[in-house]
Amino acid sequence: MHALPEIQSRFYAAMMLPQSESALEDLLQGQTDKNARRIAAYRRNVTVNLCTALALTYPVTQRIVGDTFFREAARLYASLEPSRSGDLNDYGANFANFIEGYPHAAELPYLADVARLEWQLQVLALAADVKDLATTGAAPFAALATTPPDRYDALFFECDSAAMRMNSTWPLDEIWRVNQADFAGDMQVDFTQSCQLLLWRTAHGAQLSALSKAEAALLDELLAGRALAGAVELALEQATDFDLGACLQRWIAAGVLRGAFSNLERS
Amino acid sequence: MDSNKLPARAGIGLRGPHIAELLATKPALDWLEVHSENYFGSGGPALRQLDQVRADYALSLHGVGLSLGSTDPLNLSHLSKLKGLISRIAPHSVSEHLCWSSIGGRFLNDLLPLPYSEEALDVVCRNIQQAQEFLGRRLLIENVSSYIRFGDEALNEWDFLAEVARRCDCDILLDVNNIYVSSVNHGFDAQQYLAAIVPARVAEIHLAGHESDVAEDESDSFLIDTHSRPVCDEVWSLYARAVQRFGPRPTLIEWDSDLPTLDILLNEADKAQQILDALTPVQHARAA
Repeated sequence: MHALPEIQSRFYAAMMLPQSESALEDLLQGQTDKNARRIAAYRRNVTVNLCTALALTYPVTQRIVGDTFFREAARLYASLEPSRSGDLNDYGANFANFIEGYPHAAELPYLADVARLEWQLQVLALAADVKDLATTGAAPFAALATTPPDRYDALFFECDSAAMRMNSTWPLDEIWRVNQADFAGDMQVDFTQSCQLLLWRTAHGAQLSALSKAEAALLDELLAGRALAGAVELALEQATDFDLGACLQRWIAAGVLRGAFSNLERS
Repeated sequence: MDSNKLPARAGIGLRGPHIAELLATKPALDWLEVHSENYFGSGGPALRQLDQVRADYALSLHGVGLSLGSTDPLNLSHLSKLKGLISRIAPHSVSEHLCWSSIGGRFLNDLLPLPYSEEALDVVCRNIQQAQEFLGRRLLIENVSSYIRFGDEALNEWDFLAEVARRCDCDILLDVNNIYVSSVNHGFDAQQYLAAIVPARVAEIHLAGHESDVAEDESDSFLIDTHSRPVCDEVWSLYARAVQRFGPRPTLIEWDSDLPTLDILLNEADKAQQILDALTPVQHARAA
């Protein structure tokens, strides 16, 4: 009897490594040709499990390229990128990078960014929940009302730790919208547009929305924990008619901003 | 009903596409089983849905990724996520498989067969004991189906399983479909398998459908454990024999690919329930 680590290493090879289907052969009972068919069944299962996991994480990518194309890409990725977890939700973190270098996807230069977006949305969907603002008691935004605009250099926001920003040279939000299963409108997308996205989560799961350049500049500063004054300055550089109030209100309602605090109170 | 035990009745494996309908219609079922790893996130809508399910049903957490038969050290991050899920959901039962799936930190994410050797017995028992200690509870360990057998095996699968339960003081989740599939693939007597298992150890039974893989020239065929169809007649018969021997046990219908409607799944569970209901009072008295 061979030692267990050797049996398992050779089993792994028979499943994943090229030209290694027969790596297990001399360890098995029974006829060689029959065992080859059984090993092939295990190989199929292993690949199908990994490909199914990718399809669940990357439904929009799959929709764009179609089932056959996606299956081929997924199969190649599975052969190159071992799973490192017993939880298949962890599988596929590098799929976007793989697509970037995948020759067959060269005609779809935006595809890697779509996959990048889908991975981030999955990370968001599994992120730890935050308490409902309504149930946290105190008025979390009191400092916003009591700090005069000329002291916004001392005003900071606490943000949802799972909220994130993403930029793309492609109109990801539009590509996303027209590739949802329930979308019935005009599929036309203006591929000359770029986008700035906010990704966040609600009780219903991960969400995305497009931001103007000014909004993106403001939010980047707030997410980085910097003061409102500098953030507003950067936003105004992008658009002089930028509406700060409307912007903050929207992100407070969405739960992206969780509270405001002022350094003035502390000193 | 003892709140710490699954009821000895028929339940179904709950899969994503059925959850909304289940929560909306609340079918009269005593318990459900979900795959633990599907709820390993720190938060989010899936976990909140599971909280809702748990509010109305007894629940079993069934793991597919712990890889108890690996020579790799037990994955503590995986085990910690499971422990967190257990403390959130307060399941009635926690189970895993008598198999392996990882080597050198790389996972095949499938339920792969162990050689039934003394060495494998030592490895899997050490891992089960460590997992039970870490989780602070007894696990149910499930027999898997297999398509190949390793040479020079010291033990039969049934003796291996019985010995694991004895050494680790764990319970057994007996998958009757897996016994049937392996008995056909390896030519052993399924009754002999049942006879080797101590009834008091059997805490749950699984039932599922399988498919046949036939060579193009029809010179060879074997069964694949696909969980993609109704339970076949032979497995229903074997199940009836199993509950005659072990007494009524929580019995689960598993269906994982080519998912049917929820109604069809409930109908399968109903067939299992009828077999449980038909047991004589003496057989019922065998409840562990």
